[in-house]
Amino acid sequence: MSSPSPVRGNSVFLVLLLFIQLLLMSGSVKGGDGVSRLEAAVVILTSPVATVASWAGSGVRSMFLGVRGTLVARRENLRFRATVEDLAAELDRLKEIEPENRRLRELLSMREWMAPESIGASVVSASLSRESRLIIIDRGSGSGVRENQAVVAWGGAVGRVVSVSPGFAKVRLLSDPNSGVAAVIRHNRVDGMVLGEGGDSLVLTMKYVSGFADVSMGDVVVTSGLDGIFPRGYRIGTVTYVGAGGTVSRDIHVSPACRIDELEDVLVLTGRTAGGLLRGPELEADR
Amino acid sequence: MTALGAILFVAVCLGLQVLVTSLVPGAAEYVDCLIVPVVWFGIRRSQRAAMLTGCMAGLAQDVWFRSAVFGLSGFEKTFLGWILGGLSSRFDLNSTTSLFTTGFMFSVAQNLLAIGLLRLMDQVTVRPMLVHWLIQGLVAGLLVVVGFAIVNRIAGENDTGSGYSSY
Repeated sequence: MSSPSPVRGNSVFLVLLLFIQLLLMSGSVKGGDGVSRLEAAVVILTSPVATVASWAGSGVRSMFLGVRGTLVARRENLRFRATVEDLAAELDRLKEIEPENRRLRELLSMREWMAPESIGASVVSASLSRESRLIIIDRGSGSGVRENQAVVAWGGAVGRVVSVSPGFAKVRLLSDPNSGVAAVIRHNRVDGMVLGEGGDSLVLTMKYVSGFADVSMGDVVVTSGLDGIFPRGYRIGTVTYVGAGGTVSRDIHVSPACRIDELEDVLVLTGRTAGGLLRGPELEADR
Repeated sequence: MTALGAILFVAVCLGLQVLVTSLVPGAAEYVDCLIVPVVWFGIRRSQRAAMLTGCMAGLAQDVWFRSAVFGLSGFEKTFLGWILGGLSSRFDLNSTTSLFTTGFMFSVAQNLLAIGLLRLMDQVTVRPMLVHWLIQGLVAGLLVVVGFAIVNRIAGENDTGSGYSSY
């Protein structure tokens, strides 16, 4: 008796295996409750592998996500840092701009109230030496600035234009030794001349005031408009010293209303305002 | 490779499949690592070994990756293992091209069998998508080639195999 051929043996084995699986499938298709015993056995047998693989997968996934998250966070961090730097720079710029904006608003307001016919200008440089007190502004003949035009600021009179170039103008301040402006004590309309002193002193001197005039410390001195340069009513400063009375004239010291060392923006008066009356808040506030 | 080796082979492939499912869920449907041991045993060992490996791998696949009928993948892989074992006893399938083609054809045949069986059992089937099958086949071919290279090295066998597999 010969042994069965391997091909036939394998075929029988195949049929056996397929039959078992057909039984499994039919059991599964019938919709029996729960899982078959074989299925449960396969689950139990293979679950360690699947569990380990799943755990490894989770670990790798977590690691991958962690690495990716770190990279993303690093990238975002760099981006945020750059943004913060940009914002800080922007903030600095805005901080720088804010006072300038405020000044310009004041200048605009000043212009509207004090001198409608005027040119706004910024102070480019200032020379406050003993011999001369002057500022250079960034507007010149190209903007309509001419010699002998009055220059004012929010505090009051500043000086007058003494030389002009196309892009710049030189302004002699009231405190310059060569400067002079017709002035009046506001409350009693006593006339005089306010002159610059130069030297170390920033104080102005009011001369040609009658020795019998009623002047006292704290009085406000304003432009009289008689010099043909400054219009009437611009504040020059306040009286800080009054000399002895009873003489032909008395010495009066005036502290300037404008702080020249803090001056940044000015107005150059371009209209025929000399001798006119100031309509601005100065007068209204003073009344 | 012994029976224990076959079990380990299937277990490793099952683990890899779980890993793929866990790491790239979207791509997992195109990957069937459990084809590799069946093909390997079909080409490098006996027809019977291929059938048994197919049975093991298929049942494991049914348990972990198939929501349809339990035993379906087992049936498919057992049957295809038998066919592959028979073919490899007549033809040399050890070249890279043959391995790739075998993997590709195994995957396509498996899909066809699944559809046929499910329809026979009056089960719901989704409309087959050729592109889907094509990608699955290409991935299976690639997996078989790579799997053979790795397992041959581990098992210390020549890449060209020892000729036709025995019955």
